[in-house]
Amino acid sequence: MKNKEKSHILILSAIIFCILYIIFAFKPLGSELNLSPDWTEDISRIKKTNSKDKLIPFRLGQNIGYFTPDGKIASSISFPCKASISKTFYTTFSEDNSSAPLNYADGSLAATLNYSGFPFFDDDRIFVFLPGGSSFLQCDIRGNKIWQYESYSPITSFDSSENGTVAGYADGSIVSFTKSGKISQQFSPGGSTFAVILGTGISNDGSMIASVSGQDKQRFVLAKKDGEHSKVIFHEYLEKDQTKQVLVKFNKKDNTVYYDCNGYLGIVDIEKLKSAKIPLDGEIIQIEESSVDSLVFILSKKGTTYSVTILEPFNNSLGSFSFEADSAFIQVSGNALFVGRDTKISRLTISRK
Amino acid sequence: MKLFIFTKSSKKIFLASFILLLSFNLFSFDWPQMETASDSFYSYFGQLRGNTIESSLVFKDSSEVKAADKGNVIAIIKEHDNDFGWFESTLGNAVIVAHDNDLTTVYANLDEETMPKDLPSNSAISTETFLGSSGNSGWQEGQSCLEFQVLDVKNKAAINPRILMPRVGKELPLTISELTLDDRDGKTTYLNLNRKIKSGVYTVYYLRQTVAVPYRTTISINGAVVESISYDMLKEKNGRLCIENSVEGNAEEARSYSKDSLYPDDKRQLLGQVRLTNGRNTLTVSIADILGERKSISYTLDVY
Repeated sequence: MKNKEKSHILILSAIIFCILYIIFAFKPLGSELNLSPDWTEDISRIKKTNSKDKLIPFRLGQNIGYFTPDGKIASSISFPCKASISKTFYTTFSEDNSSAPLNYADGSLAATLNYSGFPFFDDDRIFVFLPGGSSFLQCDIRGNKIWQYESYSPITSFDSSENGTVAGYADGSIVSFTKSGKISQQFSPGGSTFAVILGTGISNDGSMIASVSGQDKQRFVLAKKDGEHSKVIFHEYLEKDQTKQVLVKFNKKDNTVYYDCNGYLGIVDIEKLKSAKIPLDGEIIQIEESSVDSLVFILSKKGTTYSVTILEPFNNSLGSFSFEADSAFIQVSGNALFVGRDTKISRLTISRK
Repeated sequence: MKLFIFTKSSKKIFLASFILLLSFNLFSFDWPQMETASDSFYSYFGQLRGNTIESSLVFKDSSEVKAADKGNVIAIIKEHDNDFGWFESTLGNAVIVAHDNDLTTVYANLDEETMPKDLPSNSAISTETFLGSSGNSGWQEGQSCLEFQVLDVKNKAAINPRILMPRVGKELPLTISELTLDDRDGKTTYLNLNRKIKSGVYTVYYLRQTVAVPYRTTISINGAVVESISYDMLKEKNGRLCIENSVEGNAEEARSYSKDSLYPDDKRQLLGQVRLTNGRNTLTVSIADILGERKSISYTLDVY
């Protein structure tokens, strides 16, 4: 009799547990991300575009150019030596460059950059890296120098945003600048046996700098401008050192920063000061953010295998796909992901189903 | 009238240089590539290079590149010529190695295909470790050769690599010619044409040699050294890479010269600043190579 009562109690408890579990653990199934191919175009098929068309830059091997979201290749320029391209400007130049044309995306000439060195464009910001590897200058749209900074130590990492520029150096120091070139922050993250900066990123508001630095106890450091000083607000050591230059990038809202941590994507939630790592095979070469659901697309490469990994905030990996190529890029615009591969560009529309 | 002189003050300067060399543990580095005669480099430390002062020593012959001393590989810079949105260093493909005594060496303008693939995972390296062959990945002027730098991280200075490297053969000949004096208004007096000068403060220049760079320049008035510029290191000051001077017996007069001061144009190179007072002034300019071999020239000026 006692055994029968016991079994009744157990069955009842199990039923109650199941009911409670269903009530409290209920979570609706998320909609699945869908990438549907729209078009694929060869970069050699140039088509006439309207002046109002949005132009998206590409770089594939020894070709740079622009295409429109609806699949028209507006320009494709072969270059024998070197080139720089952004959504606003492009140029091609030689190894001994001392004068390079500053071209708008539509091909018209804005100015000539009469400086020895390598031009570099980041959106509408124009920089020239000077011979010797430790100095650079920023120009205005007429090609006139706005400001210049020279160091004794080679620049190993660089980033700019609407409100600032940051350079990391081989001696382990970081210097950030305001839009007018005034030094905003200057510090050395330290904490490692050998000091060196391998990657730096600057927030869109210019107040925060993130970096990957050092050898033997390599670490990620996030610093924020605090009056005249820089205050480290988050740091973490990496499991394994790397000697390559690494990508460090803030998202558009400045609440998350991403970095390459040798086989992983490091993600730091700046508001909650917590971090996560997602395994990624190879070197991270591009991080792009979509305005749709704040999705993040990461392009990584290992040898000739390129992978695109898709994340949703904060650290939810939605999936990835890989392809073989000698060169590749990704661009994101609205609900579209553009993937370039050797001589072809494809559009994939992002949707939730 | 030209005079060749050797003053006591100059001797002191060279003694100081010798001590400096000893403090850096003379010739502490091996060759970073095959031996090169002292007069056969493509470009020398301190020379005008584009819009900057040269902080490298650029070799003239393509060669296999090797570590100049034991150390640790701390960074590898790549061209990123296939990647979208990366800045491209004018060093091209480069390996950066940290050594003892807070010294760091930079091996730039390498060919990526020849760089050892296991270098990233093998950070501790010995002297003569192969780092790659010189290529044409960095900013260069027609030469696919090694660009070599030495950094003193503790003192935050780029060091003239030749101070710490073996030296073979004779130095490039130095010449002093076409001396000019600029007054504070920027008016230029050519000493070959005019030696009757109004008293005041002048900046003295001579004709820049396109390849050779002196190790030290000295300027004297009536036998007293008033300024000496040494091309042994470059330091950052107020955001500009500068050569530092020394003014004998007057530390307050110490100045740093950026590219704009050192090389005001493509032709002229700074020697220093002098104050000329009424009467006869003997202006003497000396330039010396890294071995201390000097050339001097003197002008007797009639100052009113």
